[in-house]
Amino acid sequence: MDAQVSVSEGPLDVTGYAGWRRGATGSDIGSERWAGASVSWWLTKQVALTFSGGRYPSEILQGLPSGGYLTLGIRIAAHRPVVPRVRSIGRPLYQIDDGGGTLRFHLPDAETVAIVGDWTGWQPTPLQRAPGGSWTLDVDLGSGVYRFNLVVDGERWIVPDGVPAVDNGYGGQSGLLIVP
Amino acid sequence: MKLLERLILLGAVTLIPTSLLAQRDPIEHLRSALPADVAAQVIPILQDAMAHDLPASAVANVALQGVAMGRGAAEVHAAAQSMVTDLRAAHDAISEGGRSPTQEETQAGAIAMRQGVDRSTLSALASSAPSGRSLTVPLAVIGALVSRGLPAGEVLHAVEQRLQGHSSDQQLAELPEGAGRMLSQGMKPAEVGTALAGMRAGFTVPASGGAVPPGGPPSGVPANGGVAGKRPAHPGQGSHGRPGGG
Repeated sequence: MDAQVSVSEGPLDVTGYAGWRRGATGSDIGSERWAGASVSWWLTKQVALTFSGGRYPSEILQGLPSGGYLTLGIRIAAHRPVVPRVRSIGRPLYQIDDGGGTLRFHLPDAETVAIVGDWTGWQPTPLQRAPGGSWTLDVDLGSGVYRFNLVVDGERWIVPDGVPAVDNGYGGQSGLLIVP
Repeated sequence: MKLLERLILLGAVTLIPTSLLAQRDPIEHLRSALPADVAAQVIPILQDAMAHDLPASAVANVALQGVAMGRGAAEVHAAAQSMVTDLRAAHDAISEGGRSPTQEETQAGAIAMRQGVDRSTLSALASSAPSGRSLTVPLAVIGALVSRGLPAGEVLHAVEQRLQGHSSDQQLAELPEGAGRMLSQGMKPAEVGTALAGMRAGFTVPASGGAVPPGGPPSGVPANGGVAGKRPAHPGQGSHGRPGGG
């Protein structure tokens, strides 16, 4: 079980995470706790001082030990990232069933979601709110590679995390949808 | 005589490559969809792409995207020209591997090159892939994995193994998400590349990150190997979307 919280206040972006796991048989083997935090102090719109530290657990399947870390660095960005409401995607983006294809994104806090992409002529197409914080769009796409961006709450175009991205030729990135 | 002329005309139309017919739409579409000054700059690029059997739709989409982003004619022209350059490089690289690429393969190759895949990797995949197997999804998967920092050599090996093992495109398309899970669990890109290359074809990566053979784990063994819970996101990697520059 783990959780992560991100807060943005003034020039500071703070992210904290913590987790706990218990061995499957109730033994101590595999039972661990971990936590960490990262603080970014934006000195200008493009430059931030970042400090992070914490502890990560071992990886039993890979035989990797647990450990701690402490880092101090300078972050340089084209612009300060807005703490977005887009969550990672825990399931395939594009699902094909008997009735055709469905694009699905998990965006529980969004008010409006639209998609722009190769198959929409890069014109916004609204997604429909679905139970559980999902947003969906029924669309039949043939096998291939499609570029797209999400427009969440009318904000600038976003590539959801967990989606491969590619340089869009205009100084930003587009997400890639691989349809087998 | 008229009948003969009609037959010749019918034969000529039949012999026009379907790709050429399919590519007529982008020009008409762009003419109506783009501002006149942008269309005047982009359509010659599109025609050049078509003349070299490159996918015009990929160029058209870059132009449509630029206009939707509010970019001017000069910037759209540069982006479209850059796409043609990448498409040509991908087409040549796949051809050097002994394949005559389809438009979809050329586009997937160009995108992969933008994601950091070099020409030699495209050529190597083209020469090693089973004959008749589409390279579109394999190229897209290689690009997606390399863009996450995995070493190109091991990514190529992993995909080649699966192609030789007759993995489906669906199975290949699951690799980037599986790699993403391993990365979020703290593995380094090189370790993920080694893990993927080391797994036999047909193995998949479950939510917990370990390898599971086709058909699932042995009876009585949970898919995550019995480990409860999962590791947090790698320090410094948030679970949020990232801006697309729009």
